Amino acid sequence: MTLIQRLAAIVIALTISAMATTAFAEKKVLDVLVPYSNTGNNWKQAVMFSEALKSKGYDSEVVHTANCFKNNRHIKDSKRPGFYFLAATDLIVNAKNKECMQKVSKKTYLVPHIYRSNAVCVRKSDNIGNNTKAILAWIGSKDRVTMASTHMLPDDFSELGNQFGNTVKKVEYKGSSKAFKGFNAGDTDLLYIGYTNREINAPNLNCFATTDGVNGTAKFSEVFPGWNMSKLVFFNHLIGANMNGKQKKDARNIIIEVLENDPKLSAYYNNAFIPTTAELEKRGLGFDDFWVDVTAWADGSVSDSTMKAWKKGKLK
Amino acid sequence: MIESLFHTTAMGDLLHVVAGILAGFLSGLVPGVGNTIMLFMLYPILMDSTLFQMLVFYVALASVSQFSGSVIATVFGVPGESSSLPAVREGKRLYERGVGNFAISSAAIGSVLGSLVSTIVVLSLLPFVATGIMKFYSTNVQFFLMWTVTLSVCVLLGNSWKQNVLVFGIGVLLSMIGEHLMPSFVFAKDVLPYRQFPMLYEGLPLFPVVVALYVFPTLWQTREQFKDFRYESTRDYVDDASMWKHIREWWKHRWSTLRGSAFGAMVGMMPYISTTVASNTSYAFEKKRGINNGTYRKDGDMDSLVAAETANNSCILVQLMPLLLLGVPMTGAESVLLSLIDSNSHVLNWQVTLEQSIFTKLALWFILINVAAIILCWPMVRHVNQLKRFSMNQMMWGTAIILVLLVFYTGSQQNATWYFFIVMVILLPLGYLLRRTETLILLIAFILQDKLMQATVIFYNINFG
Repeated sequence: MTLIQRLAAIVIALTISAMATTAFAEKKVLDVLVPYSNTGNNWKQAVMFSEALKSKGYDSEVVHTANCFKNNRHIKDSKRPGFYFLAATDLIVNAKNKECMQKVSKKTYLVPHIYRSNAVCVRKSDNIGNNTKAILAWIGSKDRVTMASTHMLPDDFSELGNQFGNTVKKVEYKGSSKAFKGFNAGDTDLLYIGYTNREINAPNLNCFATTDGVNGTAKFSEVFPGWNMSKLVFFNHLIGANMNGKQKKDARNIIIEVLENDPKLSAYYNNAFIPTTAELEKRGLGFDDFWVDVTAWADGSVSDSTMKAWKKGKLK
Repeated sequence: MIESLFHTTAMGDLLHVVAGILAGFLSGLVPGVGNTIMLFMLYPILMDSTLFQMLVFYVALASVSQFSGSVIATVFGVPGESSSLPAVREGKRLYERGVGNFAISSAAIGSVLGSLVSTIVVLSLLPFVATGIMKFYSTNVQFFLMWTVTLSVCVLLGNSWKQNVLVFGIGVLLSMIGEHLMPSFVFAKDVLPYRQFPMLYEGLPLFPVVVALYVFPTLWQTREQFKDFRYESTRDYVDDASMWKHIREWWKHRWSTLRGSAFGAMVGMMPYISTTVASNTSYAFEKKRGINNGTYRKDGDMDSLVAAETANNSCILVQLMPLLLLGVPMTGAESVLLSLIDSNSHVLNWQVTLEQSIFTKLALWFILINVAAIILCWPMVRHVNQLKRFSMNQMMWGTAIILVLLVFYTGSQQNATWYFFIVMVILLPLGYLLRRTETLILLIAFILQDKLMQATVIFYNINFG
């Protein structure tokens, strides 16, 4: 072998070795985008998702995009595959109030995420007692009842006042965590919030009623029969970003795996009686149900042509 | 590698302290820069920092800038900030008397003791304050606090409250541009060209707004203030005394140190004017006391200087309490720090502070920072004469150029380089028009608007809506 041949052989060997190392070391990427506040349940779940994905060898970052506009721009500017949480109510509020459209098509839709009951709670320190009847009587005894909630619900709770013959005032907070803290500090009379471990374990909270009557609580439809919110569950979905078909399939599988097997994630959902992706898919829920939910929530306030445009990812 | 080292926990904390000390040293040396602008200039290195690292960096910056501020006030008679005025008055005279080195060392050693006193005050108050907050921190209390800060800013700073209200209003209006979550709306949807420039939906970015409407007018003001400035002293700074001699010299003023520390710890809670009030009140008290006792020296009074400088430093930890426990900033630099903390997606409130023992850790670091500041910065003071090589104009231009480059950098980090640049250019004429006003008020309004609006809307809905 001449010197040149030897050198060429070394260069080729080094190149192949470097390429093999790079290919071997390359991690799968799956970011978790959070177009919401960084204090509430969405943020908490995003952090747990990202940690679970990292533990499975993924390169995963939590990206706080904060709102719909920044989220859309991040998706456009970044090449990294990722996903974000979206409920029908989020899409409606963003499209109607802010003219910001989130594209939910078969191409971007990943999987159904969770199906969580909402809860109405009182403070134990208000000494109303645990009896649901007594709590309802206490609500009815007030001329004006304030109820803390988040800004992402397109309903003002006024209909609930008809049942009690008084005024029910919704007090919006920027995120569930702020609503939770405000309520605990005595801001409002009632709290309307997602039923999670935080609500179950809070020492001063008595969440006496939930949408599905989970964990021994009363069912909304029984205690608030005429309320249009009584059937509302928090039906969340995961929407993909910058993914091809193969990446989507891979993301779906790993999401189902971490939801079931990651100790933190599975405890977070199971302890709060929240069914997740695998169970929801078993129930046959998916992409079409997202839009059924949007139509139900729009409640006739969005024209058919606008709804068609939304389905195409356009405002009008 | 270096970046990951900078942001890992234990070593990262230490590196942030060292970076904060060096930044603080520079911040005090360059007139007109101050901690607010320095924080902005160094934001790129804080982009991936943890909450505690950002806080400890700020504590080091704020604390050490007082030290270097008093060095140039003493040696060159240049006031870094309004709280340096006693140092200019007494320090300069002491320097001309030939004891400038002892003036600097006594103020520095006094500041270490001041940090110890304020740490004791803060740690003793913390359990009571925390219990109070846990019981009473409702939206009504938050609303009251936010408006107290707003009114304090408008009444206490600047030349006239009417002008301040106008400047505050401009800050609020600029901050309203874009979409808001709480309450959910898009500001002036039919007036502003959101469709043509969709990035407007995201609001005006902080960095270009600050450069155009705070840094630019501030540098302009400083330039006008120092346009006839010449380094007064022909005498070079010389220090051949031993460390022991410096300590013995300070010992003579130990009681002034204690009095100054107590003043600082007491007035640290006054929104936006605490260091100025602490140092000037402490100075006035010590001077009056000296005159009454017949000990005040007209050719430079060391007791008055030490009391003023110690009070300055003693304030810093105390004035952090409202920020760490309530999220309410007490100085312009703290407002900026809060917005940078928000940008980094960290949350700062009493729960986080207590759960992570942030206050206790910061208090201990505060003492170490003051000791380390002397060890690290003392040798550098000997080179202070090198500053004479640069004119004020050069320093102003240098600062301005760095900040404009940072506008590009931060814009590029968010894939919005030209948007950032255009916003800065469009706002520059407004910055020029506002050059004789207190634009810190505009900055505070821009940063606090969202929190103020939220507190107000929730307060209204709870009580009246």
